[in-house]
Amino acid sequence: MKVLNIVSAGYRATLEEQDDTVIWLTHVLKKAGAEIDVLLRGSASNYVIEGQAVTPLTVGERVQLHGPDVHGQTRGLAEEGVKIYVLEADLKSRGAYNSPRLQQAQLLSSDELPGLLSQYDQVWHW
Amino acid sequence: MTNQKTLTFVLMDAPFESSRTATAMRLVDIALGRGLNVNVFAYEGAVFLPFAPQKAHPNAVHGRDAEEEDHPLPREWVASLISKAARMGVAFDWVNCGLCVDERGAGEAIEGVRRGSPADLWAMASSSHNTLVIPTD
Amino acid sequence: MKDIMVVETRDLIEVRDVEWGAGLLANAQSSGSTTCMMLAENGVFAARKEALASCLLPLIDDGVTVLADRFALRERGIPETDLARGVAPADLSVVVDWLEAGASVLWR
Repeated sequence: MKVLNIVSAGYRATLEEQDDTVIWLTHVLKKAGAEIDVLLRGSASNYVIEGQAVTPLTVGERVQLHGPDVHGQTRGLAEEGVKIYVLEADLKSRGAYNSPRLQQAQLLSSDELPGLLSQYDQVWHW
Repeated sequence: MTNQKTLTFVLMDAPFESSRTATAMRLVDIALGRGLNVNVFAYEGAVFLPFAPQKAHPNAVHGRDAEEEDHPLPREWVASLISKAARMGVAFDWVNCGLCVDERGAGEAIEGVRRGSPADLWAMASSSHNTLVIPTD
Repeated sequence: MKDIMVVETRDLIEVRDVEWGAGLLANAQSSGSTTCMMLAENGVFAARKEALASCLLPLIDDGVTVLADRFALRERGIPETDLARGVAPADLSVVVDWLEAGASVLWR
């Protein structure tokens, strides 16, 4: 079974989770042998942009050891063979089209989306 | 009565936070009523849906005590779906994602719900006719 | 091409991203898929004939089926006679129909 994970809610609880939980889930499933690819859209499209840095959070005296690295997580998936798709329109609307980004990210136009969805047995939109 | 197909639903919302919870319960209810087998993978806040310590409360604004208020609790909905599946003779498997349970302290779930992992999600979805993810905001 | 249903639960006046689902369905319809937008929860606010549903009317003209959950309509006091041209009331069970038929069902 081939699954396309569409991730749209970027930076959702990523500070306290120390991960994007859907990118994390994709990583776990891939490691377990799943055939799974990712489309990053909406605010999550920004995950492909380089140069992101999170200062670990301190609340009161509770100091966080590891901040999240959503770009690194995404790069990690790409290095494991997961296809990472991003909509051109999402990067352009956010002014990020010309920003340095993950080399393996495949840009798609909106017209190409139905064809992409048809390549998968199931499409999970998060 | 069963028509043999299985659907998997993935839920994410904690109880009492979003109208998606009630809609999701309606969908699962419909699917069971049709004789479909149903899996539910509860991810993140949704692991609190079958949380056993949920308690109904009175409503002073309405002048109703707890019994009169009859406040539905998501754990009652889940229990009721489990019963419905049994009556319909179909399979109903509710799995709470274990790490989500741990970080939220949601370990006390009602009977009939089990703890699992992303491997269960993959197993459920792979053996299902289709999967619907109902995401949170 | 796979058939696609978008279940849209968000108020399109509040959430611009509703346009994305509409655009996906329009593209899919023109590519040969059978498509449907199922409005549920606050998504049904777009179904009123007086609503500024600028992204929905072109969908209807393109042949996309647009439905509105009866339960949500009643909950919000929207009579079925008040629905925009081309929007039909439906029971939520239609979502299960599409899942059983093997369509891609995307929940927004």
